[in-house]
Amino acid sequence: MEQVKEETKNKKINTTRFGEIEINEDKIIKFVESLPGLPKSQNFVLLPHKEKSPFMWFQSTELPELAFVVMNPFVCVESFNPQIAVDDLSILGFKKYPDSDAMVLGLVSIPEDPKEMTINLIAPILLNLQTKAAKQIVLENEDYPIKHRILTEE
Amino acid sequence: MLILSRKKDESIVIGNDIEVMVVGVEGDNVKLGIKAPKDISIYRREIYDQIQTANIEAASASPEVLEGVGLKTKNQVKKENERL
Repeated sequence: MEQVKEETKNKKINTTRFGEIEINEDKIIKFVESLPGLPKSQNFVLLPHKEKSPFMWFQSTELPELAFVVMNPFVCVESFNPQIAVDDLSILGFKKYPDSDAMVLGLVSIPEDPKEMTINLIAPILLNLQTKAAKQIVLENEDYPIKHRILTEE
Repeated sequence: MLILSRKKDESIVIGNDIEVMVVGVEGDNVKLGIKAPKDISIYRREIYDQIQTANIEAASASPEVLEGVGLKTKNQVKKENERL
């Protein structure tokens, strides 16, 4: 049996938060559109914040200073039940949701007091883990907030 | 901003791929139908503004602010991280 040698294409990118990092080109996530309000960039890599941390960073591969925090909304809200528009599913190559290749990530806003951090539940990012296509979508759910507190008062 | 008047069932074409039609008018409420390519998002203005603001806030964070924030993680998160 022939042994197929896979050549991973690595690339170095500059980032303001993480310095120069090496990324695998196959892992670059391509957004269908730039995100509202943010500088135009459609190519990102998803970096874990720390081992065992629920936070992840989307770092632009084109703009060193552009990065934002996301996390899995199901960790914040166990009953999270996103209603995704058919057009949004189809543009990312999904026939239905849930799908084993579909991942939903919520953008995290961190104000001056980090304990007040919130996750955007109404406009998450939908990612196709297989094709690496992604889009920020607006869910059809009626009352998911744009700012849902992540940490509860204890 | 271009201002046009349309009656019910009349429409507007934007570029080669977008059409906006007045589907119904009920008092102050105007129902619009929009045809656009799937890769062009359509938002209610106020939702768009809120998303913009939230996105800008999300993009202004630095790794240091996440230090000292402990959260319980679940196996699901770990498994998904491994796939990335």
